[in-house]
Amino acid sequence: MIWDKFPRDGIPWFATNPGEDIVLTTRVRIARNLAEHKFLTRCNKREKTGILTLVKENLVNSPLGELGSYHRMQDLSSDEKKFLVERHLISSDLSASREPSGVFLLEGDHALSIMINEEDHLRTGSIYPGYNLENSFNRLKSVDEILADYLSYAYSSRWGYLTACPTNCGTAMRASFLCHLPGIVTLNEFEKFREGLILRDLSVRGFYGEGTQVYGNIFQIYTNKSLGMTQNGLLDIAREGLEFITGFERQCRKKLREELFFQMENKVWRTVGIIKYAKALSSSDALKYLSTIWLGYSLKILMSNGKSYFPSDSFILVQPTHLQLMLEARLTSQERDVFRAQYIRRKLSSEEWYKVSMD
Amino acid sequence: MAERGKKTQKMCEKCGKEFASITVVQVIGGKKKKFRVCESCAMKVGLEEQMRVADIKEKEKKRQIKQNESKMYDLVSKMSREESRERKMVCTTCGMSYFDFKRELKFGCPDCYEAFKTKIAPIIHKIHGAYKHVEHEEQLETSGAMLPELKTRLKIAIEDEDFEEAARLRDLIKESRNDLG
Repeated sequence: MIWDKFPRDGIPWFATNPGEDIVLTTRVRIARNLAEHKFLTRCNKREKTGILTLVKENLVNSPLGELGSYHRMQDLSSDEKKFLVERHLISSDLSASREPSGVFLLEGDHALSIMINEEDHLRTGSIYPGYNLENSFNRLKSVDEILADYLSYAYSSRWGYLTACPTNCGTAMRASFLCHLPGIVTLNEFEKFREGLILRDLSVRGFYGEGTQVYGNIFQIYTNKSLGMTQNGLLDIAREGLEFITGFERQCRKKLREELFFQMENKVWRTVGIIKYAKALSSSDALKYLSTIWLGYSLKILMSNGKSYFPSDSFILVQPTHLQLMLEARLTSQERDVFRAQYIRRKLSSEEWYKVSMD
Repeated sequence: MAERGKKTQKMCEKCGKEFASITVVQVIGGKKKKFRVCESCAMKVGLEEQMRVADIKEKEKKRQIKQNESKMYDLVSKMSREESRERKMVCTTCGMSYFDFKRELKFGCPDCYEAFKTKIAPIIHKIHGAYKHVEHEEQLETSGAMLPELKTRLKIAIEDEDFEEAARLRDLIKESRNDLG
């Protein structure tokens, strides 16, 4: 089982530092295609298998081989695939693919994956907790450099790395942040915020990437250009974008604290009540309430007991497949909702505010 | 009196049976024509006139429809000519045509970039705001990404009479434009 190697009750690459209450994770990814090979759009099954085998052989023989494990997608159970999607290690497109495809997972912190035969031959992504552009990029770069000795990539001096979709050519790199933006949402400033993102060459989408929904006020914000700039130039765009994002959100939270404190207090404590007494919580409700509780920390409505901080990896751990794996049992959706409510209570019950009773 | 009246009062020019009591002026083909007609013939002439006008309008309408039809036909044939051109623009490595690419929005192989170069250069510029990949910082100025900025800098250099810088910028602009094709 793939998850036997993963730590059960926490995610190392998720922001859990007190100061990190906006950016949850930083992810950088690059796309690569093999030279002298057709893109996947024009490959038949045999050719796809050929590419998969070629990449796998070279990967396993490279120094990376010992640092992680390779899995053929068709060998993974649907729960395993869902688990990897919930961890942001593979895309939902790859998990749904019936074509020959695979994934390489770096062990240790389980924060780097190489998807093989997704949209491009290789998609390598590296995740780090909080705002961690440099580390995330450096690790990705070192993996890319190792692989470049084993595989030759499709590249032209004019268009850079050649990708199946022209939106990715050039550096074929993209940086993205998972951002918790309850202030912007509460104050209805999202449209204005989005305009600001567009000006900075950034786009926004849901929790699990393109076409997915937004849960718990968490947005994925990513750079949308890759040609006409160096890798460092792209990191600069991401860096400046991030300053804008955190600045905007902080300003909204400041306004909430200064002008709408009572309303926020009411909202947060009501949510505390729900968390304490709910018999069952659906996934989307859970994320909504977790977001409010977390905002409560930031607005200094809920005090942390000093040692602990908001366990923001709960956002991932309360997902259906994660809960199922924790219990090691198949659950009906109602059982899952009941367990989710209990699990969140357990996670938060050590917090100081949880013990406060209101008169 | 009656005698004199009969003499001056002309008979209707249309039917010749009744006394003419109304003068009708018709303009046909830019020429004025005057009729002295009786009351009932005047009605008929008016009716005829209306019919004639309606007829002209009808003809004009038909002409316009025909014209539109031929315009549409032109457009359709132009589109299908364009389409057949796009179908013929084929990447020899993977067999993908530009027409296929427009539908799928993904290329078939690395060589497609070169095969559809002229068509995709403007599209890629629209997406990325640049014409060329930049591997190192020094290439940035000729990537096309900085074209607007280079132009502004050129204008300032000319205004400041810094001709050495202006010449350098002019060459850079030229170089990045050369790459567009």
